[in-house]
Amino acid sequence: MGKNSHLSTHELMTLLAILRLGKEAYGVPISREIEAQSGREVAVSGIYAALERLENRGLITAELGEATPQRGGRAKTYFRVTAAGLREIHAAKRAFTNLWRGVPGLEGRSP
Amino acid sequence: MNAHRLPPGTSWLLRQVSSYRAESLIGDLAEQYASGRGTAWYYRQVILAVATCHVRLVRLHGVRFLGAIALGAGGVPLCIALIEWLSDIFWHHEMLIFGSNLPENRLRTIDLVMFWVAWTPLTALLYGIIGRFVAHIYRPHPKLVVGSFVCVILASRLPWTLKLFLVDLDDSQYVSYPVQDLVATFLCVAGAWCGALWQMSIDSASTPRAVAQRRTRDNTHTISDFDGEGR
Repeated sequence: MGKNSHLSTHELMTLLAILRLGKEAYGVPISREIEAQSGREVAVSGIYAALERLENRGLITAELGEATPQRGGRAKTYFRVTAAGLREIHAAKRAFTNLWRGVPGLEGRSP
Repeated sequence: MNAHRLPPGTSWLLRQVSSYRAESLIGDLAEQYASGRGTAWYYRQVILAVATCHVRLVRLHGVRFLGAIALGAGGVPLCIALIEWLSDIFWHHEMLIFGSNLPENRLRTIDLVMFWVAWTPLTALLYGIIGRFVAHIYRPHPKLVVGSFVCVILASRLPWTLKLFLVDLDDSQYVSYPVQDLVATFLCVAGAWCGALWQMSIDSASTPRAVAQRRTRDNTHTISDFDGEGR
């Protein structure tokens, strides 16, 4: 595996948010979904930094969508998780579950 | 709140710092701003975007980026020291020629003339040269790195200007000094930007696309010249 082949927590949350949102996954709902599920505020620029890394690694694809007056006529960019992205999510889940199992005091609780 | 009326200058700044899907990022911020997020939130997002971009660039091209910033940050005190040294030499010669008992108003006039004719243009020129080399060292994002250099210039000059404002405000004789200093700061910043633009124009002229376009244009000229001769 390469130096940066593992997903960071932020990248993993971004991938999961895209999956949860389905066809509506663009910057604003992604950041809101992460905020709602993790309970912490995220910067939109931080989301884009993660999206750039994920797209460069081929874990997501991007597609330009419609522009709205609310956005000052700027187009939305919709994101989708690729098959490679799904594989990475499963690998991360396996790694977390394995690490979780061996920790005394955490056994029996789901990660 | 209207997405068309985003806080001034922020969209431009975001375009400068975001190399990845800048328009979508601005659109997302505008959408949230229009849906009721406050101006303070918007500015915080812009500052975070600038910080994120810096962190990303340091991670990607750490040595070159930090080297360019170090050149800019080191160049400013060197320029100041050089100008002060030249100024000392000038005043030393002035005193030798006219003696040490020059009237104060004449001294002030010479000081003012030298400030506008020599020291400020020379400083702007030196900052232009440094700006060019800063942009040359860090080519992936020259505007950002020169923006950082401009921040260094402002950090080195504005405290002095502020001090002049506070000290000279009571004395009407010197009240124009801080204003002059502000104008000189603007000229120095303009010099640094011009240097960066100079480097960027050199870089854009030497890109493979620009070279191919030039070749196509040259070929077109040759063919049209040939056609003209044949008629």
